[in-house]
Parts: sequence; structure tokens; C-alpha cells
Amino acid sequence: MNLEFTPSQSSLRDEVRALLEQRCDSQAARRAEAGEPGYDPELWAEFGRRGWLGLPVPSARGGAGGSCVELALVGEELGRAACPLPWQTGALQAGAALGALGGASERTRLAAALRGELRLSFALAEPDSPVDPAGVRLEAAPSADRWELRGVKRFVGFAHSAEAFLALARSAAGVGLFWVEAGAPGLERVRLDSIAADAPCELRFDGAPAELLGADGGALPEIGTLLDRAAVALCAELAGGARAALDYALDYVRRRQQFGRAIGSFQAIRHRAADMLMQADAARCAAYEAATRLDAGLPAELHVAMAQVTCTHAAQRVTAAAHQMMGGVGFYADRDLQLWYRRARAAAPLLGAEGQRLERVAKALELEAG
Amino acid sequence: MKGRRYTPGVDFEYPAELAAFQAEVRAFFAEEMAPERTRGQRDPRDLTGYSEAFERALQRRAGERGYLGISVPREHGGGGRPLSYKAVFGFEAAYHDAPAIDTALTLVGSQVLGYADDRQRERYLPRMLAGEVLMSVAYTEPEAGSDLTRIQTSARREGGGFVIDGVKALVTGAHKSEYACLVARTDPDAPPRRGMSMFLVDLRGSGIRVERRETMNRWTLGEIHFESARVPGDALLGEWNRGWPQMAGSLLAERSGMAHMGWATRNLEILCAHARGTELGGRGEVRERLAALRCELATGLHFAKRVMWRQDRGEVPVHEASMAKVYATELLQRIARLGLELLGPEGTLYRGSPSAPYDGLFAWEAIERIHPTLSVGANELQRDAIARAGLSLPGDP
Ligand SMILES: Cc1cc2nc3c(=O)[nH]c(=O)nc-3n(C[C@H](O)[C@H](O)[C@H](O)COP(=O)(O)OP(=O)(O)OC[C@H]3O[C@@H](n4cnc5c(N)ncnc54)[C@H](O)[C@@H]3O)c2cc1C
Repeated sequence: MNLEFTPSQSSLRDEVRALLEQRCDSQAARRAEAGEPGYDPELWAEFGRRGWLGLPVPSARGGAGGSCVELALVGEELGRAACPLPWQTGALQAGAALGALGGASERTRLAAALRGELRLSFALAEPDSPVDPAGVRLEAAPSADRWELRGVKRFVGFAHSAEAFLALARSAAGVGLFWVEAGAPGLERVRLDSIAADAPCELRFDGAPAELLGADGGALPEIGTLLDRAAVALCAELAGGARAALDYALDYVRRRQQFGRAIGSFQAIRHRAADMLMQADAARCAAYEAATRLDAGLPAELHVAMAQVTCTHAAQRVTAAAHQMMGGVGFYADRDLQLWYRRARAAAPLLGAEGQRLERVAKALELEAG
Repeated sequence: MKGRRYTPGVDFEYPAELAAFQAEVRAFFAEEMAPERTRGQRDPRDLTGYSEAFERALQRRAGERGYLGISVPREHGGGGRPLSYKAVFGFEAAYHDAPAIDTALTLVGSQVLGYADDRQRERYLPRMLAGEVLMSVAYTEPEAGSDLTRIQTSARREGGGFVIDGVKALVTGAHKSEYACLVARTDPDAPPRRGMSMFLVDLRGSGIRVERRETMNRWTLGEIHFESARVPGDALLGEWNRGWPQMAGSLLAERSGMAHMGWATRNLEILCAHARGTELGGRGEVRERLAALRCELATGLHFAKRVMWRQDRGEVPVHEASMAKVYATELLQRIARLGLELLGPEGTLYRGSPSAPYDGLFAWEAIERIHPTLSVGANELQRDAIARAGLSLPGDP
């Protein structure tokens, strides 16, 4: 047992934190969120220059070969800063997928993506199958020298500014990974307005031309693995947000005076804060245990599933409790608390409905109906 | 037993006349809020979600029918019905998402009825009853929330009137209201509870600036800045330096929280219908959670009805009203949370977004429902009141 990060992990965390403190304080986060493309492209390019966008891709494929713990560390810092960046869709999903299934001909694209110069997004969710790659129904049909896609994808993050998409679609052979140019004919992007404010789009494919990456019908094992890693990083992001919301509210209740004392001295508030600390720490532990098991190649199905349950729960509860502690001012949009509150609620369903998350845990426990 | 009519002792049903009133109000709102009437009337920058013009027109029609003042005594031009009628009206307005919850009479009615002199009453009440005026309550200040003894806004006599200085914060509807009811320090040397007075102030006066501040749910609250604002002598409501007891008294107006139960009932009905219409209805954990919430909805209604019943008997329920408030506002959060879960990522889509189920209702609810638990007496203070008034537990030293 060792609950300390390695020196290189700690220094990665410190570097990410320092950069975000400098370039993405809450004002900047708010500005980025409200503007186009929904994040700061300069900051994204800086992530590329520092090699962080290569973390999700193995070194053998031209990436930096980061561990899941490292992906989670970056996620946690982004969550803490409430910083909008396509870390999930652009790097952990699209970038990693291109690295995993793209052939030699994709090397230039991959290199550009890892430098932050080529903007990618990942098209997984569908109207009735939000998060299950095995449930994909977007139809892929072969035509002369390429493929054509038909169907709908939703919640494709930062899609309106992406230059290309990696989309999971189903052919007769099974689920495959496809490259689709953003400007392809037969592809319509419809902007959605979500409380996440991560500029999601609905993609409507009507015979849009696509290239198959990897084997026809053979995307699932690799995609499953990288989606697990992305999910764990998202868990860490939720844990980071929960802790930041707690800190933000604590700072307030220490200073705020009512009834002749700091409201943080009221037992109702102190007990609430104590519960929040337990939840935030529970989330962090759950996320990193799942990450370390994935990295060690240990069976991790149960732990990945548990992290999703614990982290979504904690992030939602802690951010709500923080609002209760802050009273009315926390409800103003120009206070930071709402950033973590909204993100916690928007991220949770991307990890499946709570029932589905618990079901995954139950399945990992081999609790079958008798 | 055959031939003998069953006469219940305890009865949770509304009496026939109240039930008939509820049915009438329900039909009124069903018509007023029909999709063809509300189309194009949305305004996300207002709490009600509707444009000011729509809100005013609706309130005027409710006023014409005598609904707004249904529980105002007849001698003041109202309907003279018990407070339960007002509560039921609030339930139906909420159930239909109608901009008729924060009416002038709901917010400032008890202050005007309780403390205005005859001339003031003649001036304000007819317009309040007719739905021709919007009013706000402006007690809160940046430094005074739960602890209103910290109110710093001051009013001093000058000429025949008053000069007001200070800032009122978190005021719902200030940007559209003609008047605000506020409390200000009028004797800086007296202890706060004996050194404040209540005013009903015309917000269009000079020296008064209303700033709109955006909330996290995209609508705006008002911040009212008074900079040597001169108001006439008849802006004083009630007695000089009696603002504190008047404010405390006005907080004990109709408190069943039936409006909360209107929202809760509608939201849970939508979720149950949604589950019935999809495979969700067959999933064990979804069924269990909906069933549990239905039990809680019943409890919320029981608590609210108990407050209604006591109020109608002329009592002032204290801890029962706090129980109803805490229970209903936290129930609303639980229902909103399940809504987001059942609707999947689509549930996070906002009003007006393509593909938003129920026009973004649950995204809005998931954010909005953090507010009732911390305003109008934060639930922590309500729990203190329950422990103190309901259980006679000693308080903090
Ligand atoms: C959406 C919205 C609309 C509003 N509309 C209006 C309006 O129209 N008019 C108006 O006048 N005001 C309005 N308010 C203000 C509202 O009434 C206050 O927010 C409320 O009174 C709490 O005060 P505060 O925000 O200053 O919180 P604080 O009093 O600073 O309290 C912050 C936290 O500390 C806790 N706390 C405080 N004292 C104690 C204690 N003794 N024991 C334990 N815990 C304690 C509270 O419960 C809360 O959790 C509105 C607020 C909101 C959010």
C-alpha cells in the first residue's frame, strides 16, 4: 500500500494546477464557456505543447503513454478549476481512439491532434443509448470506396468547432470506428443548449461519407478500454469539482457573519461540511483506486463501476450542500459555485443513469437473478 | 353497516366548496396556460419564465374573477374566504406553471392589510386585488440574510418625507415591480428590533436604481440601490420603529407551502407518465424510487393541509409550517434529481434547446430547486424552529 503519488505524478499535477491558475481562473472559465468555441483554444494548444494531449496515446503510437492515474490527475485539476476544455471528448476519447485504431496513414492526423492543432470530437451517445458503445445503432453501410453513415448522435462535446469526428457506428460486422470530416455532405450539426455549457451538438448523419479506422466491426475491445480510462478521469474531474466546491463554501462560511458569529461556527453548517469532506474524499479515493487498478492490469470492472457511483453521487451532493451553506449569494451566476454545481449534474448522465451505474456494480459482484 | 352513512371523524379531503373552487381555478389555469396562449410569451430572464406583459394580463384576469384576493376579508374588497382558498389557488398556479404565484397580495398583502392606514389601503388594495400592480419584498441585504437585525439601510425624516440610503439584495421581481416593501433602520441608537420601520416604496422614484443580476438559472434577481432617495411621508407602513414586529408578523401569513406541492405534484406526475410510456416503468429501481417519492408527496400534502386547516381555524401554526416548508422544498429537490436521472443526458438540455424533453423542465428544476431550501427562512433555521416550537428543545447558549 502506498497512498502517495510518485514524484513525476506530483509534478504533473503541480504543473497542470499552476497553468490553470494562471490561465483559467473562474473569470476566464466563465468567459471561455460563454464564448466560442466554448473553451480557450490557446490553453488547449498549450496542453499540446506540453505533451499532455499525448498522455492518452501509447508511446508506440506516437503519444506520451500516460497512465490512467495521470489522466485522472489532469482531470482532477480541470474539475477543480471548472475549466472547460475538450479533455474528455477531444483527448481521452477522440485522440485516444485515433491512436488506438488509426493505421499508419493516420499518423499525420494524430500528430496534429496531439499538438492541439486538429480539433477532434467523439460521437458515442445516441438518443436512447447514451453511454453504451455496445448499444450503438448509427448505421454504417459500405459504398464504392468508403462508408456512409445514417442516424443520430448526441452530446458530441464542442462539436460545432471540431474539424473531424470519430464516430462509433454499426455495420453488418458489428461496431466500428469511423472518421468523418466536419464539413462532410450529409452531416448536419445542431447546437444543443445544456446546463453543462460544453457546447454539445446533435449530429444528424444522412449518408455522410466516412472512413473506417481499424477492422470492420472490430472497435469494441479497444474502445471499451479507452472509455473506461476516460470514465475514470471524468470521475476524478467530479472529485476535483466536489473538493473545490467545498473549499469555496468553506472560505465563505468562515467569513460570513450572521447572529454575531461566523456562520461556519453553527453546528448545522459544521456537520454539513464534515459530511461534504467525507464525500469529496470518498470520491477521490474511488477514482484513484480504479485508475491504479487499470494501470496495474488488475481486474477493475468493479472498481471502475464503483468509482462512477461514488463520484457522481459525491459531486452532486457536495455541490448542493455547498449552495445550502452559501445562502442566497451562491445563487448569483457571477459566483463560482454554480460552475461546479452545473458540471456535476451534466457529467453524471454521461456515465449512465444511476440505476445503470449501480447495475454495473451488481453485475461485477456476480449478483445474478436466481 | 347497511343503511348507516359513514361519517368520518378525521377527514383529509377538502370540503365540497373548496374542492369546487379548486376545480374552477384548475379550469381557469388550464385555459390561460394552454399552449396556444403561452406560445411566444417566454422570457427566460424572469423567474416566472414568462414575459411581463403575459404575467400582468394573466393576473388581471385572475383579479377580475376575484381569485387574487379570495382570502382577503370582504370589508377590504376581497372574497372573504378562509386562507385555504388562497393556498389552493397557489397550488393550481404552480401546477400549471402560471405566473401568478408571486402576486402583490401574496408578497405584500399581509403587510398592507395589517399595517396600512385607511388612505394607504384605499390606494393600494384595489389595484392589488385587481392584479394591476406588481410588488416585491425587499428585506434582505448583502450583510443581512438570516439575521435581519443586521439591516443597515437607513431612513431618516426630512421635510414631510424620508430619505433612504442603502442596498437591498436578492429581491425577486424588483425589475418589474412598481413597489417594494422594505424595512430600514430609523433609530440607529435603539436596539435593532426597536429601531426599524417598514416602508412601501415606489421604485420608480428618484435616487432608486434597480440592478438586474443574473442567477445561475438564467433569470435575474434585483438589487435595489437607494442613494439619498426621497420618498413621501405616506411611504411609511405602520408605526415608526415598529418595523421589526411588523416584519415578523407578516412572515406568518399564509404558510402552507401549497405552491411547492403544486410543482411537486406536477413534476412527479410527469415522471410517472414518462416511466409508464417507456421501458423505465418496468425497471425495478425506477419503480421503487417513483413509489417512494409518491409516498413522500403524500406526506408533503399532509403537512401542507395541516397548516391550512389550522390557519383556517384562526391559529398560527409555527412548527407545523416550518415542517411543511422543509419537507416540500427538499422533496422538490429529490424529484428534480430523479428527473435528471430518468431523462438521461437529454434531461440536462435547457428550455428551448432542440431535443429537450418536456421543454427542458427538469434541467431548470435541477438548478432552481436549490433556492427554496435556502430562502424564505433557510431550512437550517426552520429546523431550529421545529426543534424549539415543536419539541421544546433548548436552543444554543
Ligand atoms: C432565488 C432567491 C430569491 C430571493 N428572493 C428574495 C426576496 O424577494 N426578498 C428578500 O428580501 N429576500 C429574498 N431572498 C433572500 C433570502 O431570503 C435569503 O437568501 C435568506 O434569508 C438567507 O439569507 P442569506 O442568503 O444571507 O444566507 P445567510 O443568512 O448568510 O446563511 C447562509 C447559510 O448559513 C446558515 N445559517 C445562518 N444562520 C444560521 C443559524 N443560526 N444556524 C444554522 N445555520 C445558519 C443558513 O441556513 C444558510 O445555510 C431570495 C434568495 C434567493 C436565493
